[in-house]
Amino acid sequence: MKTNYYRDSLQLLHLSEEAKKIEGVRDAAVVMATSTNTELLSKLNLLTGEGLSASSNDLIIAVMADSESAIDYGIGRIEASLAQPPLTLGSRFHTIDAALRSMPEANLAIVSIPGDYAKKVVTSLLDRGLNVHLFSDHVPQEVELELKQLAKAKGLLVMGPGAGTSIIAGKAIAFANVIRKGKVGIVAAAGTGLQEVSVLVNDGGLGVSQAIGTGGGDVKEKIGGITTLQAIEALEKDTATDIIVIVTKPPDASVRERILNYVIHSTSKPIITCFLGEDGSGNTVSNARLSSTRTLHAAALEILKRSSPEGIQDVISMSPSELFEIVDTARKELNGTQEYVRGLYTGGTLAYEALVILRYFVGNVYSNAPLDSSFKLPSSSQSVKDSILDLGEEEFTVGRAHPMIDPTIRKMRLIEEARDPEVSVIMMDIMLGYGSHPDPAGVMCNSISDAQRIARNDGRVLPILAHVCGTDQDPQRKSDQIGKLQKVGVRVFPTNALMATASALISRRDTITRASLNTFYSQFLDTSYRM
Amino acid sequence: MQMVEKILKLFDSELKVINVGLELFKNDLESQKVSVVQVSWQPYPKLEKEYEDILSKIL
Repeated sequence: MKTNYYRDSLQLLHLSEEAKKIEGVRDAAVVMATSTNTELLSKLNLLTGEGLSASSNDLIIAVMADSESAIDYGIGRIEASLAQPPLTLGSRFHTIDAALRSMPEANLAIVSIPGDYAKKVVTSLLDRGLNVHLFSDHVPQEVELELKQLAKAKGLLVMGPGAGTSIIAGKAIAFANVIRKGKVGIVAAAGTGLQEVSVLVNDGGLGVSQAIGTGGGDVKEKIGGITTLQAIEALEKDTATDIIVIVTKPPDASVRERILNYVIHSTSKPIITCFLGEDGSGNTVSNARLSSTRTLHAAALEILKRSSPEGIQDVISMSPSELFEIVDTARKELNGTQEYVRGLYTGGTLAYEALVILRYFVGNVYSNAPLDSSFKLPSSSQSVKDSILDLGEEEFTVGRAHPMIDPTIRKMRLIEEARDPEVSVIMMDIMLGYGSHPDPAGVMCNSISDAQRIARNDGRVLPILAHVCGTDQDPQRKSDQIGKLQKVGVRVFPTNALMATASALISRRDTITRASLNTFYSQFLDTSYRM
Repeated sequence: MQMVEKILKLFDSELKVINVGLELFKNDLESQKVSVVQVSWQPYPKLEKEYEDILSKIL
């Protein structure tokens, strides 16, 4: 244990992976001693007495090896690696001013430091005239407000805090996909919502002008949608943007009103809103330019319909009959005990979209981030009935790399879910793009096969569904990732919404009728769908 | 009327990025041929931060 010793979660993930390759080492982990990490170490039998007394500012080196000497050798190698500065090609500075002297023409800063420290750093960046993409979480709301007010006064953008993704001037910032340049402008307070819509727009043959992540806190009443409104105004004036889509979990009421009033009275371009789950019936203002959609799928379809020739939207869509056909075999193979859906998500907005869809078919379901707080899982480490997990939530990520990068927790959880005889279907998102794991499908395949074997040995068949959110231009290449999943028997869906719908069709195989599916389609997936 | 000229300029400019924190983002931008400079950041010791917070309130 090293007290008061900080390294960021990605450096530690890399060190842990390297440590596992040291001769004689059976398993190893190098982690900050947060409760998430110590719990995980305990499950892996890597937690000793000394580790139990560590605090979140301390670093734990845990090594399991065949002999004392192998342990000493392993720890020695890890300590030597820790002592070395990380390898960096090119320029590295210790202060913002030194960095700016080297690049005086800088126009954007990306900040990903612990949120407690963000205020000082972002203020100094804004004071120096830079727009900021603030990736950090855990930034207090009053600090967010202060930073956004300062940015607005200066005519600059603060994207975030908690902004996982943006596409600015054609470049993917943080966790973003490689998307064709085009005419669709996106404003999103929901990171993987931005990724899904931009990917589906790309799949449909269109492209994105700019995609601005605002951070989920922007649509809270106290912040008032400052960044969202700045971004809409900028996209309205941007000559490269023809259509604007706004993606967010439902905003606070006052912010919803402010956004809708702004787009109706101060814009002239077509606007599509996706306030996830909301159909727009509560809107007090309306306009022919404004379409309200309930899902990311419907938002993307609406963009394609408004912008592209007939038929192109078929790429992302699937008729109710096609969907029934895909799930038919799975439905027939299940036994009577298999009742429930389990979702293992790395993308929070995609988990939320699944919750919205399942609510239509089965009512509210349990989650660590539920739609209705009475359905909050008593413990995030134990699923109850139908459960959708957002593995990117705080309890899984403090002091750890995000599950889009580090698959450890999802792999372990998949095995646990497979042991439960009441599970009828497991679904998961596979997020591609910059920032994400270099092979997110490949790294899950062994665990998927193990999960299916566990079920088989117990006399069950366990259908596993996936949605790959990415493009063929992403570093991981979508078609390769889909191929790897299909090879181990995973059913892959073109959108997250279709995957969630399929999970409901499988688990509630005796109760969902074609008629109710048709109604669902017309309300949630395709507003122009005719039964 | 808000000022968005600087934001529109960002949309139209070649990106030049200061990256403070995770080097992953620097590497990803460089593979997209974006110019990036890295600021290596370390948290200051806790006690120092507490003093600083107090000082920032006083000053």
